[in-house]
Amino acid sequence: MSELTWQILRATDFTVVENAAASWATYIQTALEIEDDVLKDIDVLRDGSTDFEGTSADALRANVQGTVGDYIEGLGLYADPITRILRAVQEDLTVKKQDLADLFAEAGVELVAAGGIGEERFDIATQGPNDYHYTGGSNNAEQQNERFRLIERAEILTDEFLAIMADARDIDDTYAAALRALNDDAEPLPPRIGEPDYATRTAEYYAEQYQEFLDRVESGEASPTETYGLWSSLSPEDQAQLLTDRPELLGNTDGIPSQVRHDANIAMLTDYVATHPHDDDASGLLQKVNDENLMLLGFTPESMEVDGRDATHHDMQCIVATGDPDAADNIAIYIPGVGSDEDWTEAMAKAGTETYVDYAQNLTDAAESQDPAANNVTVMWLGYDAPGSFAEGYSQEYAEEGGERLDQFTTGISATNQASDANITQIGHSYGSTVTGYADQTGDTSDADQVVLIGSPGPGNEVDSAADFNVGGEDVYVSMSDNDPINAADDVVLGADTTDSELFPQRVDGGDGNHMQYFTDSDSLDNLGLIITDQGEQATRYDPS
Amino acid sequence: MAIDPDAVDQASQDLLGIAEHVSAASAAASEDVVNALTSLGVGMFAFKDALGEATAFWSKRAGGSRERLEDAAEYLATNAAVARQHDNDTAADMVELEADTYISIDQYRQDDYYEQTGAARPERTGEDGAMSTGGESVAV
Repeated sequence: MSELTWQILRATDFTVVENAAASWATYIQTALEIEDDVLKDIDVLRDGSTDFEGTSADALRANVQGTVGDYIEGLGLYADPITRILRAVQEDLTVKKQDLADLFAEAGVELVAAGGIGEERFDIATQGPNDYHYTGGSNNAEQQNERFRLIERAEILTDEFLAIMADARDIDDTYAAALRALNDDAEPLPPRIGEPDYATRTAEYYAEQYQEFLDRVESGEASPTETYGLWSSLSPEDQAQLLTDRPELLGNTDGIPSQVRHDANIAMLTDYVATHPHDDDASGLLQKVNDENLMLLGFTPESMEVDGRDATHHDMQCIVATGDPDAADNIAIYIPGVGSDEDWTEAMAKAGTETYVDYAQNLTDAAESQDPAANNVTVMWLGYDAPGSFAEGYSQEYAEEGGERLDQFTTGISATNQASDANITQIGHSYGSTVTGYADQTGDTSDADQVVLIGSPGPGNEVDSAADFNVGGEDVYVSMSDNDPINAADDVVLGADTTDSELFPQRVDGGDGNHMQYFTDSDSLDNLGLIITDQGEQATRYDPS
Repeated sequence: MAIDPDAVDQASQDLLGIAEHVSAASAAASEDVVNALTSLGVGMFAFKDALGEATAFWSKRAGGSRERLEDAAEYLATNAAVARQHDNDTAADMVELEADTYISIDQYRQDDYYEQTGAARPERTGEDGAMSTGGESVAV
């Protein structure tokens, strides 16, 4: 039970709790590097290593992957919550401390705090710092009235005093219980190589992991990083079984390796096309992915959701990559805007979704020309319900919801990528730049290394300038052609003006095309290629002359 | 089993280094958190005592992960040593081991590591034959 006294609450500087939280958060970030250190940097432990082959070699790799997966999962389940709890403690107790300070200010010099735990009260001061005197016992009516007034005030403020301290102790107890609950029902660690009945215990462990994976991923409780940990701790046989039995669970889940997502989505899309032969969007997508050896990292067919009396239409959503992002050194995530999910071939008097996949390929080609030695991949990310009309594009709701999903996707790619230090760039075009702004502001950090806002109507209301971005102001690039109607629009209402050089100093040359030509214009593509390959400092800056 | 002893030995060494870092980093992080909160006296806040328990639990679990990575490193080193003993072709990097020659992961015991590599056995500090599993004890 909390034994927090008002004297301690009043005297404590809770910034030390934030310092502790920051220190622990830094540790978590560093600890997560174990995945790179073990599974990516030690060649013998990579799947398919030719330096160590055979059944036992594969079993050893599975064991190490399981240990690392369990460790990453454990960081998410047992260690990371400590950061959140400490920050909540700091925030909530700081509020109570302020409430107490306000109460004491209201009490002034006439009343003084006293009493122990659960007995906090205000007494009438006999002498205050301003030489206030009340001696009591006088027959003077005015003094009697004053005494009654003070008693009444003391009673009222005492009630508030008691409530504040009860709340503070409740906060203390609640978070103490939350911290203690972290090790309740802790998952068993993987079996140790060399322990008796290793084979039997390993089989039992994998069965438990399989159920754990289903429970946490199906419920949506697992973060992308945890999901990757859970997936890695499954046996190869269970992974294969899940791919066969549950493609719908794997295809759109962030933290599942890209090749697995692709296989799951292709299986689902193939089935869907067979049963929906008139859905041209879906058949067009399947044909393009197959014909051009693309990877399908997400697929949700067009749907009509009915909620009560309201029916909501969702266009087909898809996430298409020009290669395997898990093997890439440079990953661009390109987010199109209004109406881009409307139709496969043509929508809203402009190109349909298919064209955005071609734009993704143009971005990859641009990156290749700037860094041919690197493995460059672009993901065309339409994992959100884009506004279906320009009128709907005035709403930030689509961006808010999409931003959260984009952040999740980026975190998942960061977890599954096998390069030791992949460079991730989010490229938001038009309304997609607003989605990008919201994605950056989801949580306290971003797994993107840089963002590009192109032809932007604004990055949303969460950020006022490049400096507000979690990726860091120097890694926020903007691009706007002089011939883009968005540039001339007076009613840009989705947040700050990205062409304001005071707010967004890193403006690169976007060419002289219109709003839809940033991904075909050679000047624009040259600069985007440089940014994607982490050479943004060489990109040509916008010249107003 | 096909094995490149040099590559596998290097992997074993790398894994041992990472294993050491796993538990050292968690211990250091716990200490940093305690140090950051020294101004909050003992018994003043219930959450602080619970925080100590939570970080201690995590450190213990990280210690369990460390042990498992060390086991894997020792298994790698064991078979690298076996491969060297059966390497008749010094010009080739890879050594092929027959099923009755290498030590399968299901049959492997920690004694194999000491016997094959010649590594010094650590002095036992707990119950004889007890193997720590990060909180549990398993008789062996």
